[in-house]
Amino acid sequence: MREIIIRYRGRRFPIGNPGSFYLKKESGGVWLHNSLHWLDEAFFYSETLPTEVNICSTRNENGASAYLGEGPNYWSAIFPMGKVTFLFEYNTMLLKDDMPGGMQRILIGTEGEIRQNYGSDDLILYRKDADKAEMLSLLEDGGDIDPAVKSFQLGIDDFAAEILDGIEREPKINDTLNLFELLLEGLK
Amino acid sequence: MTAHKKYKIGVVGVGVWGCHSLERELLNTNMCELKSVCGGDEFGAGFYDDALAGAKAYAKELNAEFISSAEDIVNDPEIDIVSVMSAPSVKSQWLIQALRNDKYVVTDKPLGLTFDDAMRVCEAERNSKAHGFMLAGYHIRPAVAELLSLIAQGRLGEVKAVSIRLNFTGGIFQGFNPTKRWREEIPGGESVTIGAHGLITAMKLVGAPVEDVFQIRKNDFYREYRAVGADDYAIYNVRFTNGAVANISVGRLPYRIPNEDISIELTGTEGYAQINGTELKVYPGGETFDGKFNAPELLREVFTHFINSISDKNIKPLTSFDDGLMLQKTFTDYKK
Repeated sequence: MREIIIRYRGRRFPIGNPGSFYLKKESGGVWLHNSLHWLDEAFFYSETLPTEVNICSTRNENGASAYLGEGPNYWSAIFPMGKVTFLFEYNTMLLKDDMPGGMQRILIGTEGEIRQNYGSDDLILYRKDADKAEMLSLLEDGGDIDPAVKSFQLGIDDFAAEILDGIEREPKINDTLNLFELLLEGLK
Repeated sequence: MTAHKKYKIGVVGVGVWGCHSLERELLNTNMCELKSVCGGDEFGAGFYDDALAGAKAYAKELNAEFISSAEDIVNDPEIDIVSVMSAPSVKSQWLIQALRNDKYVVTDKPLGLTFDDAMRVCEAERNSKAHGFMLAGYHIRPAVAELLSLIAQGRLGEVKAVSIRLNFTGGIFQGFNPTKRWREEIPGGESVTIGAHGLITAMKLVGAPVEDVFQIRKNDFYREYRAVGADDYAIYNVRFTNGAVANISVGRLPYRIPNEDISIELTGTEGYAQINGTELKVYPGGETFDGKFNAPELLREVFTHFINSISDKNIKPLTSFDDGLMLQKTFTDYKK
């Protein structure tokens, strides 16, 4: 693994109450609320904690107040993680209706690249010495259970097992706190 | 210069790595003719085993005179345009001498090895009756040009953020053998060779000077590059003076991605645009623009534009030396 690129494009979750703490700058906004998901994911791939972060942020305020918190609503963050670099773009500036959304993931290794394009659940593999891209088969799904529900179920099952046997599972709390520290750094 | 006379070209440097023989593109406009060629080992590491013999053969192939001294080309009163195809480490001196003699110049990116090199080139251009063109950036591609047109019309509002991914795929350039000498003659590996295209494109889309750059240059893939201290992958986080930001990732990947060219996302206060390869999509609305192009024909248009900029001072080169100076700043000022 050498490079991880994760991008989100769309707008933030709406908050109808203009006085909500979630819209205040001191809450850290969606940067603090959501970024840990993807930073945690990148750490899962790289297996190395980032040591620093560089962030370029900006703001588009041409939108409905329910989609606008205080402070930036776009972040381009670069996290060096040992041999891996994580480029994370969190773009909640697509404030108008009829705009595209979704996430893009690109994992680049020395032997090829795995990509999930915006709006797609498919994984595409580009491999060295291969002329064509390959569609990767996904892991066994949850049967009749909605994938989003299933993902929460897996996490809760893991946590329950941790309570029962006392063995800490990934992601470990100290690692998560380290990652969170860098997200706080990004607020400066 | 009368309308029917063809511009005479002199060439400084032949077969140097990273140079594209732009004199051929000038000839394809049918408005130029090649007068003389100077080449040899002193102009940079290149693909000829015997650089001097290679340059002589090149001159013969193009029915031009071989000249052993580049001084004689930049001082030749009959030469109108000098094509400086030399390594960045020696390039600026020939650009400067040509401009001091009021000769028009074309070159590949970058303008020199250092920011000071580029500063001196731009100073020479300011004091010259002539000007230069630096081939770099994907803003000349139809899809990007269309996007620039939409931005100019205000369709996307104020540009706030740009992201660009540009990779050359399929391994090390065929026949290229990275050497320490090559590395010493350039300001960076693919961070510069490919990065220049991404950075110039971002600068054109944002339309404001660069204020601040963070960059990571890496060797991810090739031991041949690693052995000479050259990067093969780079990521830039760029802040512009108007508050817009950009991230640019570039690399020379060891695998192929079929049909992939440049990927661009641009968010403005009024909309969002995405370019994948040659296709542009604009939101809201999702209208699509097909920017397929014929590469030789596009280059012919680009160099015709440059030729037209000689006779009409209202026409500006598609990539100016001031753009080259800003580019060089990003290579010099990076913080990592």
